[in-house]
Amino acid sequence: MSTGVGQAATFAGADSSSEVSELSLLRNGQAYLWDLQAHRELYGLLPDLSADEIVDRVRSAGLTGRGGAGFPAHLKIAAARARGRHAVVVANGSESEPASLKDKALMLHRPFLIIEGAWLAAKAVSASKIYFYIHDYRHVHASLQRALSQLRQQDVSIEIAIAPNGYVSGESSAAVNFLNNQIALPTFSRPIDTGVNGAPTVVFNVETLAQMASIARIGSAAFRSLGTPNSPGSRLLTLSGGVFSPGTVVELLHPSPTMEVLEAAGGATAEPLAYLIGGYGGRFVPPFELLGAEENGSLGCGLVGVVPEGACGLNEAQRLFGFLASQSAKQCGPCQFGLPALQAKLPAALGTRPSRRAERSVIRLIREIAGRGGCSHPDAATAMLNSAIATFSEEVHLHRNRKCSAKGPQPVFKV
Amino acid sequence: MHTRLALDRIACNGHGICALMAPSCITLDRWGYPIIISEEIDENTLREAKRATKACPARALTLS
Repeated sequence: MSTGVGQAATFAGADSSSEVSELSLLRNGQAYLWDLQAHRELYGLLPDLSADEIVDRVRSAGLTGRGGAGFPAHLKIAAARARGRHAVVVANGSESEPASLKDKALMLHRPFLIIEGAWLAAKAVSASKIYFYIHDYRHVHASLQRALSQLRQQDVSIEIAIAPNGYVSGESSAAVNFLNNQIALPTFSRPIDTGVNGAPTVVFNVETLAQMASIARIGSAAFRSLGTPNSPGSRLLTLSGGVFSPGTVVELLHPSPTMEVLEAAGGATAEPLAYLIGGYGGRFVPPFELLGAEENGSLGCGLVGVVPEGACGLNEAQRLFGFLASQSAKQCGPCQFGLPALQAKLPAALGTRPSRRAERSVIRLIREIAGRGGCSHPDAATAMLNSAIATFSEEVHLHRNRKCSAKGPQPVFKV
Repeated sequence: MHTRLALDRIACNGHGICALMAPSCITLDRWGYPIIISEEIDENTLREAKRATKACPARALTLS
């Protein structure tokens, strides 16, 4: 199924057993649902829950944010309710990770589910205003508009805001800053304290909202029957890098040691040397750690990229780092000046003629930059680099001997 | 009741005056941006921290 958002995004059913499919978010990847009738036939009506019931269900379901940070959804709701004022809900669909497509795919294929989830969140925090914060993808925009025109709710108004491109524009405070000031850059103040028009604001990833609509229907026990105790519920993954169909979006129902989830994208093109998980600002892990990440839910935005044999993980990491450095909002010195300074040192430290001196200064720079930004962008960039150095330690030795294992198609991850 | 020194890194423009005013609380990195040595402020460092907070042209430091 093509989504028309650059790469083809396909929904693939990971498990064909009908019992499980009735509980899954996508109900086994059935086609486009841009007609309300079809949506209701597949999912049934949304139960009419009170605000307290919504909070209870989300809490006992153990739903965590699907945008990257994995923050417990009920805590966000509770924080807004504790403010004792009318809050604002932002449905964040501004998926800014270059290889991640799951939010775009979800907005295209299941727009009604996201809108229902946004209603539930609005009811829970007594909000009368919902903003959909998305990037300028024509088909995504059209899908949401079409769904909104069919599905209305009294006393809640929904508006779509189109965010400018940029890696950090999807950060929750950047979303609020854009809605307030038309500046899609992170701020020091937190959305829950000073959000849209000064009101307490909860920013939820669109998949998190869709999961709320699912929990409202199937209940929290059924939700917990998917996933693991540490990571309840299913989650959407984007399969990327060295797989035959990069850009495939799949719903992970249960982590499995055999990694059959990769089959949804036609399997790996070569033996995986490592995985990149959680996006370009995520981390590289050796193959045996992927299952643990799935079980703990530490998958960030759900990107799972294969680094196949024949690729050089250090070259990949350097290119990704260069991209992240270019995406600094340039608001904080350590990020604005530190990331490019670090990038400039990388060829001499991680290339095929590395000098110990450059290696030492890279390590020093990483320490100097991490934890010193207004948002977590410099932390994510340096953590990704650290993970590459640790995961590709054999490649580090090869490079020290002026060899490199890059021979397959390059680059694996496009920026 | 502890006093904490907080830095708004987005407001900070790297003037560097804070490190002159409060050398025992703040140093500067190679680009001239502050590194907070310890966020916890005690009676020995409170005067310095107050001075730095007042002197910051970007109003990026707060004591709470």
